[in-house]
Amino acid sequence: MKFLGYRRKDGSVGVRNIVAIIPCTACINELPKLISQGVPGAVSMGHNLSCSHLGSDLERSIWTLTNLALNPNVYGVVLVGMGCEQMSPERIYEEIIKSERPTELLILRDIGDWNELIEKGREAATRMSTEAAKLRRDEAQLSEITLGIKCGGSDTSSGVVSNPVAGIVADQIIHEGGTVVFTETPEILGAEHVLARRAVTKDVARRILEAAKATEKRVQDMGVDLRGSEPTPANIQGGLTTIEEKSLGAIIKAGTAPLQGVLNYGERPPGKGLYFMDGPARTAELLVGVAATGCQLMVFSMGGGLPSLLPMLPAAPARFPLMPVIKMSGNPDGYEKRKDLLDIYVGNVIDAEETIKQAGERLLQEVLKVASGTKRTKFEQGTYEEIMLIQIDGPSL
Amino acid sequence: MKKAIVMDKKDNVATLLSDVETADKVHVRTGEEETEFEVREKIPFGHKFALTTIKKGEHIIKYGEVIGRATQDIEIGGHVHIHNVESLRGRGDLT
Repeated sequence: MKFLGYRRKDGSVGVRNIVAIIPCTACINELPKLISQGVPGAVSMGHNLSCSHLGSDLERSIWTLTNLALNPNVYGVVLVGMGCEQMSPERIYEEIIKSERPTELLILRDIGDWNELIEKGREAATRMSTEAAKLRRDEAQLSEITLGIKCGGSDTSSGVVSNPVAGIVADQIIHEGGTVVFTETPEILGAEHVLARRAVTKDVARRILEAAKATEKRVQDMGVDLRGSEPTPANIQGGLTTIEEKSLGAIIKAGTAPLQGVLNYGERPPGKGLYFMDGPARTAELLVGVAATGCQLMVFSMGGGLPSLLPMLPAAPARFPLMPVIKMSGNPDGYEKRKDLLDIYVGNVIDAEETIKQAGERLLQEVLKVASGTKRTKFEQGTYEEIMLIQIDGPSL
Repeated sequence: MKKAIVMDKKDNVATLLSDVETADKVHVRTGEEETEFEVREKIPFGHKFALTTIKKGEHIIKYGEVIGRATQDIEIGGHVHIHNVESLRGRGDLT
């Protein structure tokens, strides 16, 4: 099975052709906004991290910003820094240029003038945008896809219909030699033993069990019942009773392939096949982390209810620009009201008009159309004016 | 036709694929097998009902795995949800 994508010098294949304007610290989030304004394909990627964080939070922000720049959908990068931040612009730049992407590093400390930096940034972004527009798509294989899969706004239809449909696509992509990344550590509680049984080594099994245990411990340390946050009030309204039920339904979206490894938030998978990213379920942070792993696109499996009435994704006001997100629902309840907000509807499985497998084949075709750029997702329509949220575990100082 | 699905043969609950009223007859599918059950109360789409009598303290099984524990006796055909089931995970309130 094939799609049409943009071949990069590092061997990856992009499904979009973005010029990413990335600030190294949140202090200068205004710069990428001003630099990207009116430049076709340029995206302002401000974020929440500055020197007010410590240790692993800082390290994570460095590799996340680096890996975002390395996402196959990124044609070129304008990296802007202050010159005094802990997230060293030089260190991030050195990593990005190994991929041979067009990359411009602009540091306020060296240029010495805010307006001049904007001028230089706009010149670089405009040049990259013009070059990017000249690129043509080439034929690529399914083995060159890294697909992210997430469920959100879940109800019991998720575990019964849309997650099994997503699982068919996960299995198919892995069968063809591709890669699938799923995540949401809070949503494997009660199902981690099932994933551990599918791990390719004892070490991978141990890591997934430890990831679940660490998240559960953080909940216990707060002295509260997880229920109300997981499952959320909207999940409970939809019929999900406990986190165990939600998790067992959630892991179905990742199909049935052996689990190759557990990634840190925003870490790139070292091989092909199925990977779990240890990270939060909240969509805002999740999108950034999954895009940093190198996923070119994502399937978002939804239930019904109030979250499905949002034109964006629940818990993420942002229309995150790096990675097209395909919204799918399998809940027929109130479908008429929200069909314009979805990319694909699979609730006809419930009335046996279509089997899970047939719906999975239809979803795979949708993935290939979006990957080839012949279809733009609902999520891609509209303007992106948010900042990215990168996971933070420790204190904000 | 009112419908429900059982995800695994070991399960003691079924998930409704229709809204149901008290004493409605429901076609319950487990793999290729179909049986008929009567529900005891009004239950919305997507919620669960008991396939057997479940005693207080017994596990609720869905997907062939434990999804929680009954906090009171649940009669066959009764609504199974947060009013009569507690989670065994993430219970910082008990530690």
